[in-house]
Amino acid sequence: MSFLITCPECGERSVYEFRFGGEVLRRPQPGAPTEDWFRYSYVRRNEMGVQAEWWYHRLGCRRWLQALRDTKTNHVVRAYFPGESEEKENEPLGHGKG
Amino acid sequence: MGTAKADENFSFIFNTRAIRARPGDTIAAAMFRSGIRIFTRSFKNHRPRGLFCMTGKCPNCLMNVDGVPNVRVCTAQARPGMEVKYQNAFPSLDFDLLAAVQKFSWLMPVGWYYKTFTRRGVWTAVEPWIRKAAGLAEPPPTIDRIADRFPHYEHVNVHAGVAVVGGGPAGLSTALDAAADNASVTLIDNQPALGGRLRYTPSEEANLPELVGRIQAQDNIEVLSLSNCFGLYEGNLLGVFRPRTTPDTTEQLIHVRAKRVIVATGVYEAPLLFENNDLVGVMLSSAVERLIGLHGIAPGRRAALIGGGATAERLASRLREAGIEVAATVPLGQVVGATGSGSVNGLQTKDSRIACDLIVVCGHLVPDAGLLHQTGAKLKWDEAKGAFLAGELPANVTAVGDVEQRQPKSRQHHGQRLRDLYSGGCRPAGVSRESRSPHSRRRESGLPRRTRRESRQVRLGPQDDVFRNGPGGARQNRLERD
Repeated sequence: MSFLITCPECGERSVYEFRFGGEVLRRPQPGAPTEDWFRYSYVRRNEMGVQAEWWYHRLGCRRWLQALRDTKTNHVVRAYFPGESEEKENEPLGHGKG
Repeated sequence: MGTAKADENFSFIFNTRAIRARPGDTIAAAMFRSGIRIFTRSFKNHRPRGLFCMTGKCPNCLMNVDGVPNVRVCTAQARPGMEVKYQNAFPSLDFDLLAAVQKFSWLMPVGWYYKTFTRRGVWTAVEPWIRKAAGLAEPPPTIDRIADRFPHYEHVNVHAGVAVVGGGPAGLSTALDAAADNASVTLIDNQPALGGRLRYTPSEEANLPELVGRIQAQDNIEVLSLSNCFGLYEGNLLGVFRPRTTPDTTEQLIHVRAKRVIVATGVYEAPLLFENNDLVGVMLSSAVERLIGLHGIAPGRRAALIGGGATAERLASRLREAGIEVAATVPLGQVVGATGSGSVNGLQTKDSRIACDLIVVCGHLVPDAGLLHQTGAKLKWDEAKGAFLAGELPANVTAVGDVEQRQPKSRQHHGQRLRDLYSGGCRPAGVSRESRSPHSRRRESGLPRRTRRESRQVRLGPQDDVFRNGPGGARQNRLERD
């Protein structure tokens, strides 16, 4: 665990400045079936490869950001603030290829 | 190095004795010059152990330095006024009562103590004594006591374009290449001066003062000398430990974050197996060359060489230059064992016994690929190149020089080299090595080609080859595992 994340606000920083916030998942619509909420809350894709993740830059700008990280190599492809990218959120398991 | 002026000399304390040292001496070199031959006692049987590798690769010289236990004094630099103490011997290193344990070693196979003292209460009674007898060192009383002596530790971050690990010929020329590409270079070397083996082995292919001068002339090369690179982690992070070398400096932990890492750690020499290969006076050839070339010390009067081919020939002439009589050069296949109690007084071969006080072992050269292994790379035997090559490396990590081990062309060739070792035959003609350098600029810029290890012809193949051909009955292993 010594890789770098390029924070869009602060630049290239050690991963120790960040807090991991889990996979980026699409939140179900209000009133969605319990099944969907169950999957959103508890089921993770645990991707081996590049996945979108939440990261919180707690020792820097203290903003939440998203990063595309390869879970095999810990290579961070890109980091961006939510909504500032055309990257799609991960489909919750059961909707996509799961 | 060995020709310092007398007024630059200083002394430090070894137990109760003052040891004179010259600038540039390691602790062990100064002690060896003062006539100390036994440096430690072995872990379990308390066999005497002398200098063996001089590179910090073996456990033969662990001592307590200024309250810090288990310092390898063969690489630690001597400082005026430092206090060095031996470990694990009573009442003295030269006369250790516990050496009597050797007489009963046949009674004590591996793990005998916890298989013997099984009765309730017995183990608790004997455990402290066993631990005391078979220990390495006593821990310092409290960590604060060390902190008193070393009041400051530093944590330093360095950011580099290119980090080169290893200050040998490969590392130096790669650093120059990278600097010529306008990269900011950090060169990490664990020796007090740049040059690697060129410092103690004369070479016609490289001009060391010229190389070092060019390094120093480059503004964008930062040299970290005496710095041990202990780790290569993801994101090209290098962990570097720089011990305290002068009273004005502090111990430093340096985190080097580099865009590109080049590992040029070279090779180290591994010992050969024969009876009594741990006696005081048995030394690796590189250790002997270091003592002669760096410290101006002749490590013996009459030497026997184990090995064959050009390495042994070159080494023999080196020894004669240093005023050491070379009694014989014996191929490993002929060796029965070293003789002597405590220290070497001869070498027993299948035909005769050679009287000598120094046995020089021309060991196998093994790629020093620890950093590469940390990245998950495996060394693989490359049939086509006849060499060990690092497998998949992470992005932006490169291995250059001897750590890549590209030498003999074919397996037959390799076999020939091994036969050299065992039979003392002639070395086949040298094989040019293909350059897989990331920078092809070298030849145009007139830099010396990476020094071919002409003289070091022995390459270790799959290990069992060595052991199958090795002499039978080499029971005394160098490292007692117990």
